[in-house]
Amino acid sequence: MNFSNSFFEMIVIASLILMSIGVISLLVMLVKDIKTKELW
Amino acid sequence: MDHQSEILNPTTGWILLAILSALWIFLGMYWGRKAKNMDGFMLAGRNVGLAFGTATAMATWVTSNTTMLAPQFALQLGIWGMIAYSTAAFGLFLFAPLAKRIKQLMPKGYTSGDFIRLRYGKKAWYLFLAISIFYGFTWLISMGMAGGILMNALAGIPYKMGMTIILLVCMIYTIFGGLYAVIGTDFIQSLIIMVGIVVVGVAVIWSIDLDHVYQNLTENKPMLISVLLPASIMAIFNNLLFGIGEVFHSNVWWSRAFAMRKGIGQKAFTMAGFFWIPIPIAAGFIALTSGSMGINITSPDMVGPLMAGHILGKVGSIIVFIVFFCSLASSIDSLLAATSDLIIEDIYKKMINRNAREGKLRMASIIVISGLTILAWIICLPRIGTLATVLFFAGPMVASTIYPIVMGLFWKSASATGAFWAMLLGSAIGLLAYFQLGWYTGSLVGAAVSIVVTTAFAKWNAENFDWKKMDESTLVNQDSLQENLIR
Repeated sequence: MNFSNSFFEMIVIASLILMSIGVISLLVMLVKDIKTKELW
Repeated sequence: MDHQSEILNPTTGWILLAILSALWIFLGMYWGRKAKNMDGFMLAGRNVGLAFGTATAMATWVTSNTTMLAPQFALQLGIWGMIAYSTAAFGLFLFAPLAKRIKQLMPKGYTSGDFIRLRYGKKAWYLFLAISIFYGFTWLISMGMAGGILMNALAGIPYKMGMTIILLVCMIYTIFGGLYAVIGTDFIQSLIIMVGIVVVGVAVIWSIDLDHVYQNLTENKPMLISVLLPASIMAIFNNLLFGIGEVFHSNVWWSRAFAMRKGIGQKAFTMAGFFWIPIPIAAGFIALTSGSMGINITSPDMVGPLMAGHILGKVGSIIVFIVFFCSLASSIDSLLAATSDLIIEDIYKKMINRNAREGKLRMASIIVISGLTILAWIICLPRIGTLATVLFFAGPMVASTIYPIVMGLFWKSASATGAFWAMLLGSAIGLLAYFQLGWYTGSLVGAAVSIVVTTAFAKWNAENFDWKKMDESTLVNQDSLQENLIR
């Protein structure tokens, strides 16, 4: 029994999308923390 | 370790190394100016926000092992291998509620050792310190070795030079800035790592059809897409438990839980887990495409850099060099800071000089960070072992600490004797399994033995722990009050 091609494609593309979301989220959080002076 | 020829010319490598080293030292020293007392130096003022908190948890968990071993896992264990490595993210997910609880129970705590000492007493504390310092130092050595090997493999920089420079750079900015420097640089490093892997991943998808990759695997390496590959399934559970054990016991993560502002820890660790989980998959799938591209891999842990160089040329090689440097630095600085905190707080302050004041503690921190770096450098010099061996050897020991920590945080019935024997027997029997059955069983057995022992003692030798004992600041205040009343 093998993993399907669509499963393989799905996890690869999902991983790249999730990492892109990660980058954007970190930048948004940074701006928010700077604005509210809650960086550290 | 045999490696394929370098993918970047040495001149470019040296230039990159010089720029990155100067940048991290400058930023570390700049942010480090905020560290005006020991709370600032050890815990970044205990007021770290969501952006820096999330980034530091994520970046520290991305080590060179993630970017080198994940592709190796994919090449040897297939799709399950990629997924197995990504299960290490559960260490971050599951630590999230613990971070909240830690901050609640110990608002003025410093280290994971503080927790074990206050919760389980001295016997368990000594054993825990031995495990934790051994693990932290092993991790540091594996990172130092990886630094030298990578600089050599990527750009032909001599092993000893590369290893020395990365250790030295991290030592300098950690000494000057403590956790402020570590967390600040972690933020930029986490962005660079994620952007770099996304760029290389998208370039790979752009240049090759994923259907073709799958077809190639079906014809030439069907085991890699098999759902029922026993070693891979075993690796999932082993990696999961090893990851959880690494995060739960290590002062690297506890210091971050103490450093984050109240209400931030749980969110930050959860988000860090979500941002970390795709990294081994993205790095791993690049390895699986090597067959379709006709690239002959003689050194599996170098498959990522080779693929990036093949597809993106010099730009790809530069990206990979920077990503690897960042992933190494983000872990080495954290290990130096957290292991030094453990030695200063738990050994120097609690066992040797209880009355040491700020100035003396800061000086001791400088000596310990320098000493750790020099010791790691000496051990790294002969270039011993492989990355996987060094990494997984500590697995059974850290896995044996999972249950005593979780139970100790949430259940009053967890007993000190149970915690001690759980860690001792879990480590011993886990190591036996590691050598007798295989590396992929060590953590599994260590954790299982520890669960049985901790639960048995909690059932038949239950304690009724008073949670107030965890907040040492109130205990100290009460002691001072009593002393004043007596006088």
